[in-house]
Order: sequence, then C-alpha cells, then structure tokens
Amino acid sequence: MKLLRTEPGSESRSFDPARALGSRQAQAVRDRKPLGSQPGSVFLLALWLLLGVLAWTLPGLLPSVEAEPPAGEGVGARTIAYEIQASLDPVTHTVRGRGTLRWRNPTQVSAPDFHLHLYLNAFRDEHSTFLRESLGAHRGAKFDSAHPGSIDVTSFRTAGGQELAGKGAFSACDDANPDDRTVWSVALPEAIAPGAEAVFQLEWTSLLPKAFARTGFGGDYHMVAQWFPKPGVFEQLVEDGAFVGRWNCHQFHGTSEFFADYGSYDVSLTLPKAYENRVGATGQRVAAHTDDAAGTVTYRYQAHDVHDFAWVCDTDFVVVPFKFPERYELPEAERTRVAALLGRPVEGLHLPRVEVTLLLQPEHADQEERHARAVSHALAYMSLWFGAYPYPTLTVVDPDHRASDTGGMEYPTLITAGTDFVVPERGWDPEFVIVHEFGHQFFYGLVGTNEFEHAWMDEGLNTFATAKVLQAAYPPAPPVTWYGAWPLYGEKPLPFTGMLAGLRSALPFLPEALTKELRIPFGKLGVVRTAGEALGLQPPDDLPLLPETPDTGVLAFLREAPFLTLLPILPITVAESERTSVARRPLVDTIVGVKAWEYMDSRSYGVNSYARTAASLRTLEGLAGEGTLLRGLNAYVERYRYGHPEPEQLFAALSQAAQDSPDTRSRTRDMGSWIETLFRTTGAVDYGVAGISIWEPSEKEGSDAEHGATSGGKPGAAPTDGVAARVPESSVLLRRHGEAQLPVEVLVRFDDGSERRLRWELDGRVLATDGGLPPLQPVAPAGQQGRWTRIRFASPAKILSAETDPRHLLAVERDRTNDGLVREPKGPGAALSLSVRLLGWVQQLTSFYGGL
Amino acid sequence: MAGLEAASEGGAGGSEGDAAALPPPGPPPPGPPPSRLPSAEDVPFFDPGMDTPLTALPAPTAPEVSLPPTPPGSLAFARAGMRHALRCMRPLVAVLIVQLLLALTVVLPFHAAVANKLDAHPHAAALAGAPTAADRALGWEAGMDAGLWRDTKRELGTSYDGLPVQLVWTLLLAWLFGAVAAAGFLGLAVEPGPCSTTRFFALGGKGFFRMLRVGLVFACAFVLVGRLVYEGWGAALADREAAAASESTKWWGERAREVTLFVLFLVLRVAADLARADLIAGGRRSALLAFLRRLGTLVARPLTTLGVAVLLGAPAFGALWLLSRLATVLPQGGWQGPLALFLLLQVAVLLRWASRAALLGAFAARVLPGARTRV
Repeated sequence: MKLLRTEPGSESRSFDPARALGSRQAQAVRDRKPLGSQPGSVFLLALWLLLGVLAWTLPGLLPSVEAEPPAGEGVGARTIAYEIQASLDPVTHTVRGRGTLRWRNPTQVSAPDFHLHLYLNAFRDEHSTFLRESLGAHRGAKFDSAHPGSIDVTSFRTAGGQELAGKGAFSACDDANPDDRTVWSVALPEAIAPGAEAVFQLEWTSLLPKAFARTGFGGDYHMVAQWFPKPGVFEQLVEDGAFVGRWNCHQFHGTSEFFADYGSYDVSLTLPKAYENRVGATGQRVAAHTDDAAGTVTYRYQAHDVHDFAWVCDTDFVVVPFKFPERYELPEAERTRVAALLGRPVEGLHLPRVEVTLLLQPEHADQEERHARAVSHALAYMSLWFGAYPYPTLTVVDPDHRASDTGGMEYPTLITAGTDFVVPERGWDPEFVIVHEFGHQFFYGLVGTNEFEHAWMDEGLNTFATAKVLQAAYPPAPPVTWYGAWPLYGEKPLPFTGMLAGLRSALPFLPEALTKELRIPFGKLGVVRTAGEALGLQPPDDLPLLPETPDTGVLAFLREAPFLTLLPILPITVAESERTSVARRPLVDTIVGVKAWEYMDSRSYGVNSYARTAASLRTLEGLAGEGTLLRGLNAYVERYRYGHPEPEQLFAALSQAAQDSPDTRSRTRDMGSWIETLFRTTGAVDYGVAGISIWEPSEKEGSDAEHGATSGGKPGAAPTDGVAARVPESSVLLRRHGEAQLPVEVLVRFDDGSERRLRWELDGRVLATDGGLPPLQPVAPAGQQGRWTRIRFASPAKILSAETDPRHLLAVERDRTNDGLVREPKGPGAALSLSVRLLGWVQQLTSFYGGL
Repeated sequence: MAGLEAASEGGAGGSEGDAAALPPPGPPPPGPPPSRLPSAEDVPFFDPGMDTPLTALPAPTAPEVSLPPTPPGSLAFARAGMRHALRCMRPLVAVLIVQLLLALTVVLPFHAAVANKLDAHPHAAALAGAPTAADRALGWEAGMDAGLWRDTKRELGTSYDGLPVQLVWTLLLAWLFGAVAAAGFLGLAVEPGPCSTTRFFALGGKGFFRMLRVGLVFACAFVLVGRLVYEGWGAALADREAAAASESTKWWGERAREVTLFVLFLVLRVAADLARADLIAGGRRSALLAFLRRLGTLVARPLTTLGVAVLLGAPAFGALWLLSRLATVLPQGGWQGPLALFLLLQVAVLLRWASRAALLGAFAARVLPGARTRV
C-alpha cells in the first residue's frame, strides 16, 4: 500500500495501517504469514476487508470542510523554514542573500505555482503601485529617487535543480499595474501536494532605499526589513462546494502592510566589524564569529513561530540589555483584578522572562529609563491580559534621525520606536510608540491577521490594547505647546504663528506669483557663492519674494507670555484623544470589509484601522463590561495563536464571551448587533438632550388653562395619561443625532437632590436601571430607537439637568457638547474663564505688536 | 515740574560708563578726575554715532528748572525712564483701555460662540473650576475637559476657525495704535506740560506718521534679517545638519538661529526706538537715516543702549512670570475666579506698556542731552 504523508483528518484514499492501527499492530501485520495459511484466516480477512471499506468510506462521510482553523495549531503554523546567509555592504547599501526555503503546503489542495512577495521593488521607481498611491510620501517622509530600493532574485531553483528565476512573471493582481514588481509568481514543474514539502534554493540581491516607508538606511544605520523573497499565503477556499487553492499575495500598496505564514528562520548575517555588537534582529542570537582577515563579523539568529525576519545595525548604537521582569514590579492588585475578570486563578497569570535589548542613539541615551519602563509595562500588562509573551527575546530600536521613517514599526521580537532629542517630561512621548509597537507582538505577531485585507484587526486591536496599557501605567497627558525647544503645558487659545503666516491666511487673494513664483537671486550672486564656497556651505540659488520664516520659539515666547496666557486644559487620556480624532473625520468607509488600499484616502484608512476600531472596542467594553471584552479577546488570542483568523472569528469570540459572562448584569445577546453597528456601518454615534420642559398646573380652581415653562423643546401639554392634574410634570427630549443606534444611558437630576438612571434601548423604550419605575413616553416607541423620544416624570420635583451617556460608555460618541442640558444655568460657566484667558493672550499680542 | 533728567553724552573720553581702571602712577591723565561728575562744559562732546563731531555746547540759557547733573550710564537712563513711566499713569490707563477694546473684537465673538456650547452643560461648574459632588462622582475634575474642548472647537466650525484671521487685522490695528502711543510717550517726555491723556493723544497724533515710518523700516529690516538667518544661514546648513550623525547637531543649529534672530530682533527694536526718539525729540525727518544712525549707536555703545532695554524689559517680563504664579492660586469658579484673573491680566498689560513708556522715556533722555529736553 502506498503511504502518503498527510495531515490527520485530511482526505486520503490510501490506507495507512500504521496510522490506523498503531505501530505495534502494523508490525504484526507485516510479520503475519500469507493470508489463508492460519486458522481463522477467513474471519481475519473479512475483518480486514471491513476495516478497509470503513477507512475508504468513513472520511467521505465526515465533514471535510473545516469551518474554522483548529485552535492553537493554526493552519499557518510552521509552514515555512527559511535558512538564509546574507551579507551587508554598507557603502552600496546592498544585501546579498542566499537561502534554502522549505515550504509545506498547509492546505488540502495542491499548489501548482508559487508566489513571492518582493516588497523592496515598491521603491524601484515612481511607477510602482506603492509610490503611485502614496504620491511618493509616507508619514511625512519623501521618497528619494536618487536612492531607490529594489530586490532582484537571481536564482530560484527547485530541489531537483531546475532554475525557475527566468520563468516567472510579475503579477499585478490588485490594480493591473504593469510596472509594479512587488509580486512574482512562477508555475512549478510539479505541483506541491497537500501537506507536502517543497524545497527551493534562492539567491537575491536587495538594494536598500534611503530610509523610506519603514526600511532603508540613514548614514551607517541600516534597517533591513522586507528584504528577502517572502512566500505569499496559500489558502484553501470553498467554491461551488469544492476546495480550491489560491495564493493570498497582494501587491505592496501605499497603505498596506504585510501578511505571511509562520515558520522558523535561521539567518546568518555578515557585516563589517564596525558593526560588532551593534546589531539587532528577530529571534535569538545563537552564534557569533569574527573574521579579522576579512574585517567582518557574522551573527547567526534563530527564531521559531514567527512570520517575518528583520534586522538592524548602526555603528552608533548604545546597547542597553536588561532582563525582564528583574527591573519591574507589577502591582499585585492588578494581577488579582485581572485574574478575577478572566475567571482564572492568580497563580496562572505570570510574567514571562524576556531578554530585552534597547538599541538607542547616543543623543537619546538619557531616555534609557523611559524606554525600559515603557517596554516593561507593555510586556507586563499585555502578558497578563492576553497570555504570556512567548519569545525569549525582544529588541527595541531607536532609529537614527536620518532614518526616522523606519521608526514606529513592528517585526517579530523586534520593534522600532523613535524619540526626539528633547521630549516633555509629562506625556507619552516616546512611551506611546514603544507600547504600541510592542503590542503588535500580540496583534499581528502571535495572531497573524491579514494586514492587506483586515488592517484593522491588528492596528485597531493593538490601538485598543495600547490605550489600556497607558491608562494603567501612566497619568493622562497634558496638552503641550512648544516654544522652540521648550515645552510648556497648556494650549494656545487660537492657532497663531506670527504675522507673516497670519497675513498669508488673512489675504488669500495674494497671487501665487508673489508667494511662490517670484524669486530673488541669492546663491547666484557672486559674493554669496564665493562666501559659501569658502565656508563649505551651499546657499540656495534663490529665495521666494515672501519669506517662509518660521515662527521662532523665543520670539513667540516674548510675544505671548505663554506662562500667563496658555489655556490650562486638563490632561487627556489616550481613549479620549482617539475619540476626538475619530470625530474629526467623516465616516465614509466601514471598518470591516475594506482592503487597506480601498479606503477613500489614507486618512480614512488611518482613522478606521486605528482609532475607530479601538474606540468601537472600547464602546463594546463599556456596554458589556471590561471583563467580557477581556475574556473575549483573551480567548481569541489563545485560540488563534499562530493562525490567520478572519473578522468573524474575532466577533464570534466576543459574542460568546458576552453570552457566557458570569456577571448576569453584563450577560447579553446583543453583542452581535452592536458589532454590526460599530464595525459594518458608517453611521456616527451621537446622542444628546435637546430640551427640558416643565409643566406646572395653574393655581386657579377648576381652570383648564395650564401654564408651562420650557428650556428648549416644546411646551408641555396638559397631562392626559391619568396622572393627577395637580402634579407638575417635567419632560426631557432625547435626540439621536447620528445614524448609529446603540443603547444609551440617561441621567436625570431633580432639584430635590434625587436622580433617575435610565437607558434608551434599541427597541425605543426608555427603561429604568435604578430599580424605579420607567418614565412615561408620551409617544410609544415603534419597536426601534427613533431619532427622538420624550420622557416624562410626574413629580413635584423639577428636573435640574439631564444627560446622555453620563459614564462615557460610548467611546465613539461624536459630540459631547450636546450630551446634556441644565434647565437654568447658574452663574458664569467655563466660557467666561476661557474668554478671560483669551483676552489676556490677545492683549499680550497687541502689546507686542504695538511696540514694534 | 516733571521731566527727564538730562544725561550727558560721552562720559569720560567716550567710555561706556564703566568704572575706570586705576591709572598707573605718574602724572594724572588729561580730562576730569574720575570721582567728579562731568558736566557739559568739562568734556568735549563727541558721539561717534552722529555724522559730525560737536564741540562742547554752551550751557543752556534760562532753563525752566535747573538741570541737576545726571551720571551717564544705562542705570541712569533706566531710572529716568521709570520716572517718566510713573508720571504717565493716566495715559497708560488709556492705552490699557485701547488694548482691551482691541482684544474684545476677538474675544467677544469667541465668548458668544463658546458660551452657547458650554454654559448650559450639566457639568458647567466643573468646567469652570468648581466641581460639585455630583460632578466628581462621575469623574469630572476642576477645569476644562480636553475632549469636550476639542469637540467644542470642532463644532464651532468657522465661528472658531475665523478668529485667527480676525486676530491678524486686530494686530495690524494694534501696530498702528502703537505708533500713536510711541509718539505720545515721547512727546510727553520731550514737550513741557502735564502728562494728561488729552496731551498724550494729541502728541501721538502729531508724531504718528513719523513713528509709522520707523515701524515700516523696522519691519523691513526684521524680515530681511529673518531671511538671512533662516533662508541664508539655515538653508546653507540644512543639508549638513540633516546629514549629521547626531540629531543634536540639527537641534543646536536651530537653537542658535533662534537665539540669533532674537538678539537681532532686540537690536533692531532698540534701534527703532532710538530712531523714534531721534525723530520726536531731535526733530529729524528721515526715519531710515535715523534708524541707520541708531544702529551705529548700538554698535558703538551697546551697553548704554541695550543695557537700558534689558534693565527696563527684563523686570517687566519677570513680573509677568510672578503674576502667572499668582494666577495659579486665584479662586476658581463663580464670578470671583474670572474677575480676579481679569484684573491680574490687566496688571500684566499695564506692566508691559509701562516698561515701553519707560524705555521710550529713557531713550529720549539718551538722545537729547541739550535740546528740547524737559526736566
């Protein structure tokens, strides 16, 4: 019988006795004498025949399409084993690599071809999809066409020695751009059977661009990312009731990131000796070798259960190693609290042991403690909430300022952060980026979602987790206004950066000729050129007629006396900051179902993938309780570790956690509809109080004339609902300004000191959550939450104020200025204080300019 | 009668007024002994900042009040300036009112828009700085909530976004008014008469166009200097700084340019004020020539000129810092808080203008040793 290597449960038409019977019995079968020569052999033959028939037919009777990947061992687990030897030439910024790629078909269908990501070709020229879509800019950095990037695969051989490098073609599966070379595919001489392993030998040359879009060089610093030919993900889909295999291998887009299978990497890096001990990479360093004759050093790294390998080197790095959690102490109260929320014993929550290495720039060495503390907090809290960080190492990179666009990025066990020479003492700079990039070790690293198709699944979940860590570990951040190099805490009352800039905006009719086209010769002047040459400088050839002189910090300080006039706005939490950033943008795209490059623009991609997802998760947390969300996310991470889950799997985990909540108050079956509203629609969430009205019965006996007093809304009508005619009534008009419908709490306060806590439900009813009677709703709800509803209270006490979402559970609430009303505002409010500060600020400005 | 004490130019042999070193043993040097205060008859007068050297002037005939001798030096000028400022309290209050009215053109629309959004908020007391127990129970702290403030600005839309444009025009008016005020303060320092508000505005109007010309010369000079610093020096070094191994190179380069521009700003500002004094007190007509001449004075006598500015400006700015510390302990909420803050901020404006008046007075004394100087 022919034995095939297959995975358990896979469809197979060949019978493998070893697998079916166990090895000892299989040995007995092989040792047995020929059939028919023993007593009872007919019976045994019949038995074998029966077993054979069962083995033949039974798999066909079992469901063969798995609805979801198995837990733990996701379909992506250990698909790849990559051995690479690479060397860096820092002068030409070139990496030469050769490697052996073992690729195992993780599906139940054959793979007739092979697809590779060649990401660096996005920077080959301006015709690539990436540069076309991004217009040559990425996070403020500009592509330098004088220093492009590229990757050339010079050899791609099968195990049989067949060279395929010249036989493939670049594939533009997303936008049919014939000039894009970021995906290469080739037909294989022999299809790779399900579960089988193919071995390829590759050689390539990578040219690193001047630091752009997360990779590249700046001076001696080299961030080597997306630098090797990376297989796409071969997926098994169901079409017309049958399995089909398809490569998920998208082009590199301006707003996309990456997607790959898990595996192991064994990478040897050879660099000039100047980089000795100044290298960081994914995984653990297992060997080091110095070649004095060649003047090189070679480091070997190994990493398992990762889906990428990146490395970095800089001759200037200040290397700060430490062992986590030796320098760190997590409050025991937090461990106990989380254990209770997760329903687990405290002893089961432990902190991992990790060798952390900080690679800092010398001018930022004084920020070592801030970096160490931030990464420690991130390691601690994320491990508590989502399971222990499973890798033995972590490297945190502070990029060279000449390569700042390589900062703020995540790779397995290696993150790049970035900071400034001067940072405010209070605030989250650089803590935010460190915590955020570490968080990607879980969302994207351990749970390998598809960043092309579901960017929000890693960015959004991580943004949510980042805010939780910062809220737990740091105080809210005050607003900072910079005066040159000096940060002051407070906010300028109005945006103003000097009279020149002000005149530009105040005089928009100034012709562009004056502002841009007319030039004054400067560097072209002989004397200036001579002086420049003598000093080794390069003055500009000409200058615009109207200057772009920046608003200098010292002058601005003198002008505004900011220590006296800045508005003392309270510090803000990350969550609130994200809420307001979402509110600033029109919601034109849904979160789910939009590929990274299909959003309206890069800002829509940014807000939907990051802040809006985080705020939506926070809203679910508010509605269902922190414990529910934590259990749901914890289950999701545990189940899909090393896998590639889809949105439905995340939502299923959250819904299940909501239904199974041990706290009856937060147990709910509505999670699905909330998820639908928040993730699959473009409706904004915006509730408010539009009016408070008081109806007081007239003092006159027997009179039908009733008087009413209102604060917004319509005057109350005479009661007709059976309430005693002499009892005053107060009513509140609630409004749903946004399209989205969610349950919202309402708090009503009365002048006798009492208050009512209510909830406006999705079916339109306003129910009491304080154990009291629900209020009257003169207009009965029509089974769904309308655009408005009025609630009425018959009571001698009059309403003082009414407010929607008093506890700010709806973290996506668009506008909090309309959340509530007081019936009779007393005394001057915040507007007067703000106005007085503004007055002082403007007076300082008028005094300054009056003295010129 | 109130007036400035004239300070003679030159001092001992044109020195900066610093204490002279002990002469070596030997015959005493020519000129007045260092312990005796020089008078106009004793010392040949020479101001290298002026076009032609002058011989010693005869003593002024029949002054209204005898001129007590004033030692030279920035301290003396500063004292003279401060005395002038103290005498000009009524005009200073008038200037304060004008500043207030100008500022209200921006503040009143702001207040109307923001009050509409915030004053009926259920937690208005907390936002104003005095949260109630109910506010605290829901987590509202004393002060303006950052998220709510961002929502307010966004929801106000053009009502808020248009204010910076309004501000630009207000500042232009303030600049024009500054020319009136400068002429007024200088006129009061120079012309005999009471320091009344009416005279202040009358003299201000009289000298307005001369002050305006100086202001224009200053603006052009400052723009030119800014371009040289940023688009010349800065642009020439931009590539080198960007390519430096350490971020601190670029950082220090930016700071150096900032400080240089600030110092040059001060120099130009002082030269402009000296030129203003020249035009009003010296009866000169050309703003440009006066400005250039006074730049020369600055180069020749930096301590006497810049020193005065620093002596009069720095304490005023320091006083503003003290007021900011006081602002943190003011009562919050209700009417008392905003009222106390308002008064404190007006004191700050008054101090700023008083230092301006003092500076102009000091420069009038500096510029005019023997002309129409009031005492």
